[in-house]
Parts: sequence; C-alpha cells; structure tokens
Amino acid sequence: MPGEQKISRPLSPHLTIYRPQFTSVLSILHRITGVGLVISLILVIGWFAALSFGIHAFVEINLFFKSYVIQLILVASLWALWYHTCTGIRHLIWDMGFCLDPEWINPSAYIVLFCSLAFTFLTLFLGWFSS
Amino acid sequence: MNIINLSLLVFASGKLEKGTAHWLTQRASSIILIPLTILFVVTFVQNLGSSYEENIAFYKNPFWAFFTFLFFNLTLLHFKQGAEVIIEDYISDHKSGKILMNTNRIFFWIMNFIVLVALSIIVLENNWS
Repeated sequence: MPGEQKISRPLSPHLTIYRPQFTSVLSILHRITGVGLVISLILVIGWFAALSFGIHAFVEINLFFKSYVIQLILVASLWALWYHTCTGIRHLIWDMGFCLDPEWINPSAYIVLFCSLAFTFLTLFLGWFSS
Repeated sequence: MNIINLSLLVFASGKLEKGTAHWLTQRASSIILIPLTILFVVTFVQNLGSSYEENIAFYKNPFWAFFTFLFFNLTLLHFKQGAEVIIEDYISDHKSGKILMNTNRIFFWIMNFIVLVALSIIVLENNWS
C-alpha cells in the first residue's frame, strides 16, 4: 500500500474535463464563495482589532474601509455571504433527505439565487440608511 | 440519509468516528451560524458607518461582545472544517496537503486569539475604568 500512494491518480471532481452545467456551476460557487469569504473575515476581524486599539486606529481603518477596492470587496463579500448561506441551507435540506428529486434541482437553484440577491440589496439599503 | 437517524446512530454507539464527527460538527456549526450570521450582518452593517464612541458603546456590552466572539469563533471553525475538506479533495500530494492542513489550523488559532483579545479589551477597558 505505501508504494501505491506515489501513483498520482485523478481526484474526484474532474474539473478540467467535466462540462459545466447550471447545477455544477452553482455547486462550485458554494466552495469559491466559502474560500473567498476568508478575505472579508480577515478584514472584519482587523476592524475589531482596530476598534480595540483606540480611536486613532479606528479612524485609520475606517479610511481604509472607505477606499474603492475595499468597498468593492465588502459588497462582493456581502453577496458571497448570503449566497453561501442560502446554498448552505439548500445543502442542509438535502442532508435531511428532502428536495432530492430532479424536478426540485432547478427551482431550488433559482430560489437560492433570488434570495442571495434580495438579501444583498436589503442589507445594503439597511447600511445605507443607517449611516 | 437522514440527519436525525444518523445522529441517533452515532450517539447510540457511544463513540464518534473521525469522519462522522467532522461531518456532524460541520452541520451543527452551519445550523447555529444561520441566525448568528443574520444578526451579525444586520448589526455590523449599521455600526460600520457610526463613530468610535457609538461603536464602543455598542460592543462594550458583554452580550454583544460575547455574541460577536461566538459568531467569529464558529465562523472560523466552519472555515477551518470547510478548508480541510477542500484540501482533502484537491491536494493529492501528501506533503503539501499536510503543510496546508497545519497552516489552516494555525490560521484558525491566530484569528481566534485576535478576536478574543480585541473583544476582551473593548469590554474590560470601557466598562470598568
């Protein structure tokens, strides 16, 4: 067995040869958003660290957060977070054994996409009106 | 596969296999994270534009500080476990897989430490001084 481990066999998602489908693209987006959200996780934890350092660090980080690049990352992360949450709930429903029939695959995908966009705009408006 | 049946089976047997424990904690953390995420985003989005004093007044409250710590703690755990699955799936090389697994674990502990220290300072410096 130890000798066999050296053979590099292809691993299960054959990304390079598999034709992209609506469902598979949504599935891989769940992973991509999950990994990508680590950027905003670091940013937001940095924001709390700055808040604990005092008013000068807080003013600095707020200036940093107001830059266009960070604003773009934050808005993209907001959608990514809601998308990941919605597809996560879809996965949990699947794990419990519901909605696994083929006729549910596309409707649930559209529900997830709609909800993620709706939640993004709702939270953006909430942030806009409170600031 | 039914999550309730599976949980009963696992608890009835009295011991958790490593893979089963990973699978169950990933599901448990994601279920708890649904309300936590909604509440965190709704409060954070409103606090982001506020002044230093307003933010301190909000986060020095032990309830919100603990809530925020819990949210970050579970999010970091959720990320750590998700990254573990991704590393297992895509990294076939044993050595680099192990390095990535360790980096992932170190990242988890460092971020948890930063969150804990930051929120402790906010609570302790502004409530009793």
